[in-house]
Amino acid sequence: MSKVKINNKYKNLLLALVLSIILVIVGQVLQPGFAKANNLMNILCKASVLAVACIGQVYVMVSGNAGIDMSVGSVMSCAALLGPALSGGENLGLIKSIVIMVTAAFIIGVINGICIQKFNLPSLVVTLCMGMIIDGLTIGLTRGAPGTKIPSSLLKLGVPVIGKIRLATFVAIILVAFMYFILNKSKYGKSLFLVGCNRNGARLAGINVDIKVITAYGISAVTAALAGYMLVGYVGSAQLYMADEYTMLSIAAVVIGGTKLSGGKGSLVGGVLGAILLFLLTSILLAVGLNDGARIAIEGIVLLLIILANCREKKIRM
Amino acid sequence: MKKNLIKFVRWPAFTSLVLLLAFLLINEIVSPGYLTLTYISNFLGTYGPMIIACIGLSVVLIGGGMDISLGAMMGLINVIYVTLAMKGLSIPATIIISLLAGVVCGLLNGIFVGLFRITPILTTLATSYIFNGIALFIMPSPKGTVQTELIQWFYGWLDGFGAPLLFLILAIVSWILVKRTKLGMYIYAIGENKECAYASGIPVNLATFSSYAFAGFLYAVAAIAMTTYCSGGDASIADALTMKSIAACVIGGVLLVGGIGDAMGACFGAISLGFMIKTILTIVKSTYFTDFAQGCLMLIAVLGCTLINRYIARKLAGKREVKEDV
Amino acid sequence: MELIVKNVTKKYGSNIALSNAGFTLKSGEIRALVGGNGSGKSTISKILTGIASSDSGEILFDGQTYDAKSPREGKDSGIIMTSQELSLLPNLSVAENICLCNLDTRGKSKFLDKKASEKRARELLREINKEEIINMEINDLPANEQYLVEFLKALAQEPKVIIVDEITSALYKVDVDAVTKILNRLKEKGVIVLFISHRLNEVFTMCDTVTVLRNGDTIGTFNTKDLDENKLISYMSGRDIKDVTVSEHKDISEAKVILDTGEVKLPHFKTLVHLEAKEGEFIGVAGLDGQGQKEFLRSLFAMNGAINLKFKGEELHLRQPRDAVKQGFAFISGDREREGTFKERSISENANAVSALVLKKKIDNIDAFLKQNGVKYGSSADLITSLSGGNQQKVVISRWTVADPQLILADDPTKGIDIQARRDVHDMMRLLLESGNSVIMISSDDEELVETANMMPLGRVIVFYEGNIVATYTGENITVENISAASAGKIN
Repeated sequence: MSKVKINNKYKNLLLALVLSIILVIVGQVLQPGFAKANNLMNILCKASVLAVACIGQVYVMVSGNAGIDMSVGSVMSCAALLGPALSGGENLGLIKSIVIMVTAAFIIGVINGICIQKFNLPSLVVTLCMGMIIDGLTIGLTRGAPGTKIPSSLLKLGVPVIGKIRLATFVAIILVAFMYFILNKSKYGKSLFLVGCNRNGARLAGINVDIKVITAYGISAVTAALAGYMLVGYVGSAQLYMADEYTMLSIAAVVIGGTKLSGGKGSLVGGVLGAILLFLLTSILLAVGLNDGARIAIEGIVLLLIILANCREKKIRM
Repeated sequence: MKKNLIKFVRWPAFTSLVLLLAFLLINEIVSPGYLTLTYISNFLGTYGPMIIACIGLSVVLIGGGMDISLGAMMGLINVIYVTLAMKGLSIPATIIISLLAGVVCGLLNGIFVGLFRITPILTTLATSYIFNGIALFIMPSPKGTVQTELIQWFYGWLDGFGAPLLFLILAIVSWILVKRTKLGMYIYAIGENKECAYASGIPVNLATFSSYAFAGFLYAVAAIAMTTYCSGGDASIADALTMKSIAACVIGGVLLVGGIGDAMGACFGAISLGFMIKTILTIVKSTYFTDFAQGCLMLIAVLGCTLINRYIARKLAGKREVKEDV
Repeated sequence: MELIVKNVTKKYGSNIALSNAGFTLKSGEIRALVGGNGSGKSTISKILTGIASSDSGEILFDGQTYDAKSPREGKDSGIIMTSQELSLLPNLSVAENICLCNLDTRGKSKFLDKKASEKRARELLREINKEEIINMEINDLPANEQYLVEFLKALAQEPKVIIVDEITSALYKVDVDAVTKILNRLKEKGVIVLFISHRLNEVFTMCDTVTVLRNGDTIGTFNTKDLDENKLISYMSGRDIKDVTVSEHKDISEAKVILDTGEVKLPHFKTLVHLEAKEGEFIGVAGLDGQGQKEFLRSLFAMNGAINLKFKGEELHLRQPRDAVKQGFAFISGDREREGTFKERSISENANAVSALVLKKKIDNIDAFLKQNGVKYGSSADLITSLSGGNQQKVVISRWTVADPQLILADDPTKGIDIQARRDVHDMMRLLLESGNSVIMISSDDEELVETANMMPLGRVIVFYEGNIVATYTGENITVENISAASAGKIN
C-alpha cells in the first residue's frame, strides 16, 4: 500500500520526463539534427526562462483556494521593457535596475495578495485586472516605443558558456534550487503546503495564513520580473507584449508537472519539466514546418490529453 | 412592500444596475442629451458582443464552472462565418452553421468538464489553444468580409439601432427562458453544491453540458454580431474580451464559486464596463495610458461591487427570531 | 411490501464499511437502525437510495431485484432518505428546496410551475405548523428548521421507503412529535419506515423493531418490546456496559480556577456566556446542534476575533488562534474534512503541523510517537488519506497532545471513530487532566459525555440552549435524562 502512495508523488514527474524523452526522439526522427546538443540546449534555454516564471506560479497554486497568477506575463513584459531602460544600458546600472524592479514587483504581488486574501476576492479576476494595469503602465511608460539599449551582461544569457549550455540555464538552475529549498525545507514552505490543503486546519494549528498567502503572491511577481529580464536578455530586443503568452504557458507547465490548482500539492521540479516539455513540443512542431494555426491547435490537444491524465476531480458517486 | 424592496436590493444584479444608472446619469449631466439613437446604436454595435458573451459566460459561472476559451471561440466563429460568407453561402445558412459551431465548441468544453471531470479553468485553457489554432489555420491573417446584405441590414435597420438591439434581446430572452425551466434550476443547484444536487436526483452531467453549450451558442451570437459590425475576418478579434467578460460578470454579482448571480447582472455589468471604457477613452488625454486607466477602473469596480454585494447580503440577512415554546 | 437486503458488502479503500449486511424491512412497522459510529448505518442508506454503490450482495424491493445506479433511479423507485449532512441548497428558496427532487412543470413543457411548487410546499409546512418559513432563506433558518425542511423534502417525493437519518439531534421536542406523527401516518399507509438515531429513548418510544449494526456487521433484528436499553447497548457495543470506570470524585471547591473566560459574546445569538474551569477539570458540553456551544468554544480559541481571558492568573489578549496555540491552548476538531487533516500531505507532516511549524519543536522520533498514540499505519511518509478515519483522527489529536497543551478545547473529537479508539482518547484526556490541565469537550453524544465525565476525577457537564449555559450537572446528576431535558430547555 505504501509503495503505491509514494509512487503517486513521482507519477507526474515521471510522465513529464518520459514524454520529454519521447519528444526528443520524435524530433530527431522528423528532423534529423534536432537532437544535436546546440539545438537542445537552445530549447533548454528558452525553457529556463519559463521555468523561472513557473516558480512563482507553483507557490501561488500551492497556497490554495484556487490560487492562480494571471499577471505573470504582464509583469514579465514590464520587466523586459522597462528593466533595460532603468539600467541605462550599463552593466552596473543593471543591478540598480533589478533591485528597483524586483522591489516594485514584490509590492505589486503583495497588493494582489492583499486583495485576494484580505478582501477575499477571486485570484483569477484580481490578477487578470492587475495584469491589465501592468500592461497599461508598461505601454504608458515606454510611450509604446520600447527598445532601449540592453546591458551586455544581460545579452550574454543566450550565449553558450559551458559546452552548448546557455548562461540562462545556469541562472535558472540556481534560482530554482534556491526556491526549491525554501518551498520544501523551510518553515514557510512547509506551512504554505498546509495552508493550501486546509485553510481552517492551518489557522487552527496556529499558522498565520494571511502572511503565508500574501507572501506567495509577492514571490510570484518577483520571479516573473526576473524571468522578464532573462527573456529580454535571451531575445536580444524588447517588444511590446513580448511575454504575454507566458501567463498561460506558466499555468500549463506547472499543471503538467503535477501542481494542483486546488492547493496543497506542488512541485518546482515538475514545473521545470513541464516547461521543457512545452518548448520541446513547440520546437518540434515548428521544425516540422507546421503553420501557426496547426501548431497551436496541436499544442492545445496535447495539453488537453496531459490534463486528462493529471487533473481530474473526484467522482461524485462513491 | 418593505419585503419586496429588500428582496430587490438583495437581487445579485442590483449593484450593477445602480452602477449602470449612475453612469447614465453622470453622462447626462456632463453632456446633456447624449443618449441619441446614434449613440445607442454605436454603443450596442461596439459593446453588444461583449454584453451577449457575458450573458453566456454567466450561465457557465452560475453552474460553478469557468470558461476562458470565450475569446478564442468567438474568433473561431468569426473566421468560420467570414470564410463561409466569402464562399458565397447564403446568410441564413452561414448563421445557422456558425451557431451550430458555437454549440459544438461549447459542448466540447462541457464534455471535458462534465464527463471527464477536468478542472474547468484548465480545460478551457487547453480548448482556447485548440479553437485559436483552428481559427488561425483557417485564416492565418485577417481578411475577408461578410455578405453585403447583412452589413446593410445591420447598419441600416432602424438607423443601425435595430440589429444590435435585436441580437441583445435575443440573448436576454434566451436567458430568461432557460432560467424558467427545470434546467435553469439545475444549473443553479450544481453551482451551489454538486454533491447535494446529485443526491437530490439532479442530472449533474446534463446540466453541465447544457450550461457550456448554451454559453457556446451565445458566444456564436455575439461573434456574428461582432463580425458584422467590424465586417472582417480575424482570428484574434475577440482576444481581449475574455478578461473583460469575466470582470463584467463579477461586477454584475455573479460569483465565481457558482450558484449565485443572475445573467442580467452580467448584462448590466457589461454595459457599465462599456461605459467605463468609453469614459476613459474620452477623459484620458494621453492615448498611452488608456489601458492603464481601464485596468485600474476595472479593478476598482470589481473590488467595489464585490464588497458592496457582500455587505448587502450580510446586513439584509433576515435572521429568524428564535422563540420556541417548548 | 418488503425491502430485503442480502449480504451487502461495501469497502472504502481498506475500510470495510459494511460486511454482509442482511435484514428485511416490511411495511406496517417503523424499524429503527442503530449502531455506533462507523457501524454502517449511513452506508447502507446511501446504497439503498443510489448515492453509493455496493461491492457485492443483493437487494430485493417488492419482489424485484433492486440496483439503483444513481439517486435519480433510487427516487424513481420511491426509496428516499433525509441526509444527516443536509442536502439543502442555500441559494434556493425553502419551497424550491422542498420540491427540488420532483419540480412541478406547466403541462408537458419544461417550464417550471412555481405556483404549484409553492402550494405543495405550503401544504407540507402546514402539516408541521411551520408555514411561516416558506419565504425565508435556508441560511437564515435555525438548525432545527433546516432539518425539518430536509424532512419535508423527503416527504414531498411521496416515498415508498423513507429513511430518516439522524435528524432528531437537532430537533426540539415539539418538532420530534410532529415528525413522529407523520411517520406513524406513513406507517399506516404502508410506507416502509427506517429510522436511524443514536437516541435510544426514541428507539423505544417511536419504533416497533430495531436492527443493530456494529462495525459493519449486522448483529440482528429485534422487537423493541423484547429489549431494554442495557440489552440494546450491549448488542451495539459488544461489551457489557458495566465496564466503565467511575472515578472517585474530588471536591470541586478544592481545585484552583485555571481559566476565567470573562463575558464572551456569541456572534450569532448575541448572548454573553461566562465559564470558569478549574485545574484538572473536565467540562463536557452538551446541547442540540447550533445552540451556541461550537461558537463559544471557537471564541475561546480566538477564531471569532480577539478575546480577553484570564488563564493561570494572567490576563491574556488573544488576537488569533496562533496566539492561543502559543499560550498552550489546543483545539481538536472532529470535523476532519474542514478543520483537521491536510489531505495531500503525509502522516508525518500532519502530526508535526503544530509542534514543528508553530512551536518550533520537531517531533524527534515520529514512528515511536505514532505507535505511542495507537495509530495503525504503514510508513510515516504515506499520505494521511491512506489511514482509516479513526486513525486519521488519532493523528490529528496527537498533533495537539505532543505540544503539551494546558487547555484542551475539543469539538466532537471522537466523531467517526470506533469505541476502542474513543476509550483511548478518553484515557489520554485523563492523563492530561491528572497533570493539572483542563479539558472542555463538546459532544453530540450524550452518553459519551456521561461516561467521560464520570471517568474523570473532576468533571461536570454543562448544557447550552439558545446561546446560554442553562444547566450544570455534577456527580450523580450527570445522567442522559437530565442532559436531554436541559438540551430541550426544560430545567428542573
